[in-house]
Amino acid sequence: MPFVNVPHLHLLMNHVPTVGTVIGLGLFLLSFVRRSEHLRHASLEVFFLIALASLPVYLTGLAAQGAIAGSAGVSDAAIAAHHDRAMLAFTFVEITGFVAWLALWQFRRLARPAGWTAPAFLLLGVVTLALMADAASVGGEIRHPEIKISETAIAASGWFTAASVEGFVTNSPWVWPAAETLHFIGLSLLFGVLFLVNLRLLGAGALRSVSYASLHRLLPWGMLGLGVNLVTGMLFTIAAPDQYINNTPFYWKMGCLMIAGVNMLYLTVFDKLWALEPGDDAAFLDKAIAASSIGAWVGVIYAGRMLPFIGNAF
Amino acid sequence: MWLEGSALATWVREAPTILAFATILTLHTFGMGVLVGASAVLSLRLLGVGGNVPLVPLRILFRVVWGGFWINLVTGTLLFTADATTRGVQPLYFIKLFFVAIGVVSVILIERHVYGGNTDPPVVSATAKRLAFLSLVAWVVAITAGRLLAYVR
Amino acid sequence: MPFILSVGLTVVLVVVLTAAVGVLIDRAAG
Repeated sequence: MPFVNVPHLHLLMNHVPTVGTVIGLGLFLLSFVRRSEHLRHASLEVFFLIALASLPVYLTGLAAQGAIAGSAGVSDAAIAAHHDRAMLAFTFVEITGFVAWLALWQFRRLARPAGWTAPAFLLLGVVTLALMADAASVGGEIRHPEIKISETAIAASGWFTAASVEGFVTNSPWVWPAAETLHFIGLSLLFGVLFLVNLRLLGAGALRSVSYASLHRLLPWGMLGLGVNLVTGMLFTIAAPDQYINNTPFYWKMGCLMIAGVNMLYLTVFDKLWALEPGDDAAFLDKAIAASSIGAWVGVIYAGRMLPFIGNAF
Repeated sequence: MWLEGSALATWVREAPTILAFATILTLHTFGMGVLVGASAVLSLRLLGVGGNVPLVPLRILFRVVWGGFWINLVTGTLLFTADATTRGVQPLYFIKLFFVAIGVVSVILIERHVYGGNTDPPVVSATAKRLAFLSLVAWVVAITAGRLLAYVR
Repeated sequence: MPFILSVGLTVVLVVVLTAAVGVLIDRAAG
């Protein structure tokens, strides 16, 4: 097994957001042609997973940047431009992923999907695809002399850049503490909701008399907590990447986060959970999943809090 | 002074093991997560934006809140002893404690108002809703003050 | 003092916005 380092992972994964967006959108459109609601749900689930996977792609990209910036034969301007375009594309893939999740959640609660979510998803998805393609082609500029695009293509990308995020954080000392505070509030909301939902699945005490459907309604609050934490978390990593890319607990945290993210999808869409009536006990597999979900979130919090202690951050 | 110099405080602050300051701080974070999280879910439900989860089974959340509170009382005290001279005279520290107190009292009053009547289903009065809102505000302020303590001396 | 005020106001703003989105989503679910 050849040695695989983090920058290598970026090369392995970097086509996931682009190809994945095409597949997700493609399946969604196909679901209208085939008039298949199952296919529609599947396409939204695929897109959610692509949005989830885009996070490690982004972070390994930061590590790759750290590894090769300044080397001979590498265009630093292209790296900076690629990062800026990727930051924009990433923002949109996450927003689209949230809308996809919302559509899936709404499918459960309403007889038909809410009117605006499907068109919104399609529109956002197309914009995401365009931005991803742009970011990817600039990425090729970094070390692929066979596909030279013009210099203007990698010119400055306006105000939404990694450098402006870094500048914002450096010049305003209140930003970092505010972001940390929001990160704590977000984690409390997120963990509060998911702890309760998983406790129900584990059959804790009086909670067994609650239907899963009534708790399902709380999931958007959990997602909002996750959203706040994703935004504040990206602020930290973009403003100070060196504190994270060589920090081992940070990768544990991201690993646990991926597991927890998949679990979130599972809690939102699986039929047999939705079917749990008051008094029903969940299946053993679901209890095991519930326990591992709590474990994953505990891992995220633990690794996050340990960043300055176990890792070499700060 | 004497508190900070004590063997326990010195261990918390300076022991070269991850089981000291780092672990105590991590437990404090978990305590906060469950305490504020459970309290928030309860408040959202009472304010009518958390669906119609039946209230009687939700009573278990109070146990979660208290669990988190005791963990944080113990870890918080340990953290305080390690830095008593600075924290002991800091207005921000007392602001944090004040809002924690408001949060705790509001949770106690919520339990009394909603479940005290022993009706089934429990009645959610306007007072209970105001308390629910108050508790949300109190925890947000407490967390903000707590985080600022790392930056303000 | 302006430092604490900036942190506080930002936190309040984001919390209020997030809560507003949450309420809208919950309302839409009926």
